[in-house]
Amino acid sequence: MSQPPSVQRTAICIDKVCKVYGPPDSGVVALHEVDLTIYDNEFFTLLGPSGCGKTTLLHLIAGFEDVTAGTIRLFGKDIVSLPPNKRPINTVFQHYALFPHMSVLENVAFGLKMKSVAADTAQARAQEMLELVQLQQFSHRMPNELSGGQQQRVAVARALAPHPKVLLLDEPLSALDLKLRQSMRDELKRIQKTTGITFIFVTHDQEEALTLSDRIAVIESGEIQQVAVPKELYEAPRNRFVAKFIGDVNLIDIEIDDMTDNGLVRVRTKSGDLIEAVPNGSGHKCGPGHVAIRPERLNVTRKGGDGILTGRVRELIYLGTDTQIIVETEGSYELTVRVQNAHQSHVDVSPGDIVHLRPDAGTVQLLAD
Amino acid sequence: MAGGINLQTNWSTKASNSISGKQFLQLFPAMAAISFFLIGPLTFILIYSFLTPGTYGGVEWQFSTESYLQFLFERDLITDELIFENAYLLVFLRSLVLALIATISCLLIGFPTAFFIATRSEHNRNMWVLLITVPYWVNLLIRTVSMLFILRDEGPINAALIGTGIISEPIHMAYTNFAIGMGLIYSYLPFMVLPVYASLERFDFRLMKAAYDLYAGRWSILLRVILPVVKPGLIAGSLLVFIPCLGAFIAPDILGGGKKLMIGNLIAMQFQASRNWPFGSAAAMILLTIVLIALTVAARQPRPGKEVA
Repeated sequence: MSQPPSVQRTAICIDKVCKVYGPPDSGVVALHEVDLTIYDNEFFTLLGPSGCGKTTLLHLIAGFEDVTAGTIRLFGKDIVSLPPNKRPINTVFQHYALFPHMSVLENVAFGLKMKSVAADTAQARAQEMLELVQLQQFSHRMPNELSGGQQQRVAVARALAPHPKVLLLDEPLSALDLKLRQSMRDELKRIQKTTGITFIFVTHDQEEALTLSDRIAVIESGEIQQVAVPKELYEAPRNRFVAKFIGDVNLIDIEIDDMTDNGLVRVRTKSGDLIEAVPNGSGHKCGPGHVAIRPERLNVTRKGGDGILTGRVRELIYLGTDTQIIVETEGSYELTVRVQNAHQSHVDVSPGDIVHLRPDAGTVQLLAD
Repeated sequence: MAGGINLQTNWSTKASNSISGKQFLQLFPAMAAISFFLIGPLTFILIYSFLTPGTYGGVEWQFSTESYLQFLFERDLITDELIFENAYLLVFLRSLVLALIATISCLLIGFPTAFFIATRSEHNRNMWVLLITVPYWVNLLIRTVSMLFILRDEGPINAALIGTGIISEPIHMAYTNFAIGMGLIYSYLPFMVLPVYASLERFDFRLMKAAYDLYAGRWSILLRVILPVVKPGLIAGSLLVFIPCLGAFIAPDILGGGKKLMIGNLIAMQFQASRNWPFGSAAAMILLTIVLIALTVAARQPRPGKEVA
C-alpha cells in the first residue's frame, strides 16, 4: 500500500488539538496544535520517544483526558465532550488491566454486558472473539492463570468484543519478551485485517511501527513531525528528527549549491564533494542544510569523481549478515557504510584505506531542518 | 479475631500430616501460648457452664445443664416446670441486630473513607492512616463517655439544633439503642477502615479506567469491579467490627444506661452482681458459637479467582 486512496472514509479527524497540563497559559504543553486524519480500516501508528505526547493523544481520543483546545471527530461526529464510556472506541492497555475476579470469558463479555447486550448474545460474541485470538479453550480460566502473551490476547479480545469503531492500543507489546512480541505482532496484523477495524497503535519501537503500520505519524515534543507510509518514512524522512529516529542514518552538513536539470539539488559537503540530493518538497534556498543517507545506500568504489564521497576507513565492524565500515572524511565527519556480507568483494577494504563512496541514485534526502 | 481472616486464605492449604521432632520444637512456644491463653480459659468456661452455681459466686462441682436451659426457659418455683422465657433471647437478638447495624454502618462510612485515603498521594496516605488511629490513643471508656456527652439532652447536638431553632425540645438520644449503635460505630470504625484501605491500596486503579473504557458507568465500576476485587478486605473489616460489637460491654453499659442489655453486659452481670458463674459461662459459650457460625459463613465465601461462570 502506498498512499491511501482518497476514496477512503475518515475514521478520526483530529483538528488543531492542544493539550496543556496545568494552567492553560503557563502549564506544560503536551500537544501543540496537532492535525491528523486517520482513515477507516487503517493500521495507524503513533510513533515517538517516551514523553513525546503520543500516549496523551491516545488518551484524548479515548476520552480519559480532556482536550485544552481543538476538536476530535469520529466519522464526522465531534466526540470531545463525551466521556470514555459513551465513545464507541475501546483500548488495549499496556498492562492488560484484565479484571482479576472474572474469568477470561467474563472479561471479554464485560463491555457487551455494560452495553446491555442480551446475555446469550454477549456470551456467543465473547466466544467468537476468543476464537479470533485463539484462546477459546481458555474461556473459563482466570486471568492470573494465563501467560503474559495470553493475557494480552484476552485484552485484545475484550476491547474488540463490543465492536468498537476504532481500537486504541497503548504500547501493547512492550511488556512482552522479544519472541512473544514478534508473534503478537503478526497476530495483531492478522486481527486487524480480519476485523477491518481501524487500529491506532502507540509505540516507541520503530521496528514495530514499520512492520505493522499502514501509515505512521512520528511525534516529538508534542508536534507531528511527519505522517507517511513506512517506506516513505524510512526513505524520505522530512527532517533530522525523523531521519535519526527511524533506523540508522548518516546526517551530513552541506551547503546547497544549486538545482540540476532533473529536479535534484546539488549540494556540497564540508570536504568539498559534490552530490545530488532529493529535495523534500518544502522549498529550499541556497545556504547550509543537512542531507540524510542510509548506511546501506552507500557503495564502496575504487574510483573517485562527481557524486562520490571520499574518506579513509577507520574501522570495520562485523555484524553477521552485514559489515559496517566507519569512514572518516576530510570534512571531519564520519560516514557509516553497511555492506551485506553476501557481496564479499565489496568489503575488500582494511582500516587506513582511502575509499570512495557512491550513494544509490535518489537516496540522498535533503532535510527540512 | 485475626484468625478469622486467615481462614479465608488458609482454608485450603494442605497441612502436612507428620510433624518432625524439630518442627515440634519450633512450634512449641506458639502452641504453649495458645494452650495457656486460649484453650485453657475456654476449657474452664466450658466446664463451668455445665456446673451448678455456688451461693456466693464460684461453682459447685455438680454436673448440670440448667444454665443452658435457663437461657430459653424459666423454671416454675412450685411445679418445677420449664416455661419458655424470651428475655435472654431478646438480649442476644438486640446484640445481633445492633452488631449488624454497626457493621453495615461501618461499611458504608468506612469504604468511602478508605477509598479517599487510598487515592491520596503516598505521603498523605500515611498521614490519613495515622489520623484514623488517633482516637485509639484515648481509652475506650473515655471515648464512650464523651459520646454520651455529645448525645445527651444538654449536649452540643441538641444545643445546636435548639439554638438554630430547628427543634424546640431536645431529642432524646442518650440511653437508647441509637446511642449504643453510635458508640459501637465510633469505637470500631477504624477496624473497618484499615483492612479495607489495605485492599484498596493494592487495588489496580487502571482497572477503573478499563471498565470506564468498556462502557461502564460509575455505579457499574463500583459494583462490578472495585467491590468484588476488594471483597477480602470488606469481609475482614466486617468480621473485625461485627465480632467485638456482638460482645460489646462498655458501649451498652454507658450509652444504654444499663437498661438496654447486650450479651457482654449479660455475661458481666452473671459474674458480678448475679453471682451465677455457670450461666455467665453458658452465655459466653453461646456467644462463641454465634461467632464461629459467622466466621464459617465468611470463610465459605468463594475465594476470588475460583469463581467460574
